Amino acid sequence: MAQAVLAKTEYAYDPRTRLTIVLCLSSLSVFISDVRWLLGIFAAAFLLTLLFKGKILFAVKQFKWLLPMFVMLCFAQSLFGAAEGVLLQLGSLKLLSIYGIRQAALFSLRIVIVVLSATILLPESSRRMIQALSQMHCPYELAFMVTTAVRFMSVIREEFSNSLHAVQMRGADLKHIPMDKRMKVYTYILLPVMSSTLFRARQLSISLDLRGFRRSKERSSYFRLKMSAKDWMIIILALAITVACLLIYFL
Amino acid sequence: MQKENVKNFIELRNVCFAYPNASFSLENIDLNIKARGITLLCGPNGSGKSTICKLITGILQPTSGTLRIDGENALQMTLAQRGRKIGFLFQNPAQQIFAPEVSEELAFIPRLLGMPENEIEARSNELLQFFGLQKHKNSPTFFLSRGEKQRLAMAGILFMRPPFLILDEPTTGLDEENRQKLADLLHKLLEQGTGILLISHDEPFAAQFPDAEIITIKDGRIAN
Ligand SMILES: Nc1ncnc2c1ncn2[C@@H]1O[C@H](COP(=O)(O)OP(=O)(O)OP(=O)(O)O)[C@@H](O)[C@H]1O
Ligand SMILES: [Mg+2]
Repeated sequence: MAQAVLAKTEYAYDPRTRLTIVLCLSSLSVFISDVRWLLGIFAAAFLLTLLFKGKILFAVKQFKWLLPMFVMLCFAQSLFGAAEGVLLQLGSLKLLSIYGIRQAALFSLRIVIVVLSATILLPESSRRMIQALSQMHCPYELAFMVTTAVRFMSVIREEFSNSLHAVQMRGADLKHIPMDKRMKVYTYILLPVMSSTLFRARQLSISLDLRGFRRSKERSSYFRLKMSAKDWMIIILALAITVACLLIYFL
Repeated sequence: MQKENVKNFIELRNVCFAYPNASFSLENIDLNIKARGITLLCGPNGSGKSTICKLITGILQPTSGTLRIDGENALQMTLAQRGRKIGFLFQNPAQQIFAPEVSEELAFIPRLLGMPENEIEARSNELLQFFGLQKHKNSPTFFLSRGEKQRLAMAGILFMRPPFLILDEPTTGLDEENRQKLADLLHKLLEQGTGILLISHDEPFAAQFPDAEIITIKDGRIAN
């Protein structure tokens, strides 16, 4: 089994290379708040996801709720945001404004970029991810939790839908209540779901320890990841482009 | 007794269902469950008991067949509409507790539905008292013990006083005292006219309901 995991040909890039790309793309999308720039970053993220065989289809499946969220954000930002380019007004209420649409677009684009680029990590086995993180001197437990949390994405989705079913079975009709109340329900149940999943990941790590899976002090692994020249080049290039983009944008 | 006159609350006709990418399937399930009294759904592990509950409550959709609840076509009812008629205790209470705090688990839904605050307070206190959870009122739900979660989930579904209950293994994790309390509560609810569909591998517990109607399921088929 272990040998199969290590088979060289399956893994064209070091996990750290993938991590760097994801970090670059997500920090760019967080720091930059210009729709045109973000569109460019989105295009780059799309190409890189293709190149690194990320799971674009997986990402697309996560985006079902994006349109309703975008619409809701448009109205919310228009109502409470700056009175810039008001398109639709009812008395003193700004129902829809250019400002609101722009803010909603920014937010949605960011989410799309982060989720899409995160799928670049998916082709990696969790074994290699943990190894990469601990070679970067990330504590083993943390590395384990992070990678398990990524694997736990489907668990999170499952638990989230369980909670949604439970809420509805108790008589709350999510299909027929106003959007803001529905959003409130979603955000309300999301947090416990996330924290319980992290907690379970931690318990899993403890139970593995109990079964003797524990490193003595320094976890000695006979398998170490080595970066190739190609990996170094990609990492340096990615960091350089990111820094350049940020400099151009902020100066 | 006068069982014959009681109308059916839940009716399944030729219901079929299969999980995607799995071998298990339910085939041509016909069931009549009375609006009053208690029905016991028995069968070995993996025979499809929980799956039937999820089909009735709308968490899963049958691939074919018809399902009526309280005389209405249930396939056109939302989860919430079914939930107002049926309180459903999941087999694993951790899957149904959604709130971060014990008191919130009870109050969140009625508040969303606009129930007056003093009514919420009164019902919450009564249920927490009954289920011995008063001292955990402000505790995080996540760290409750198995049996405490079971009781909290039960309190949650009783809050809106549904006319029918589906209880999937309600005694799991309960100590002797709490099992007895639950049995007494179910007897009281039955007297008040609530209908119950009970799934339980806990034979001494099930034996406390000698006039229960018994339905046995095996490998996804009704066996009696
Ligand atoms: N989400 C799912 N996907 C695929 N198969 C499933 C899923 N849920 C349950 N099953 C399968 O369906 C079968 C019936 O499951 P179910 O939970 O209904 O059994 P049960 O009668 O409630 O068993 P138990 O007594 O253990 O609670 C099992 O073989 C199970 O593996
Ligand atoms: Mg079951």
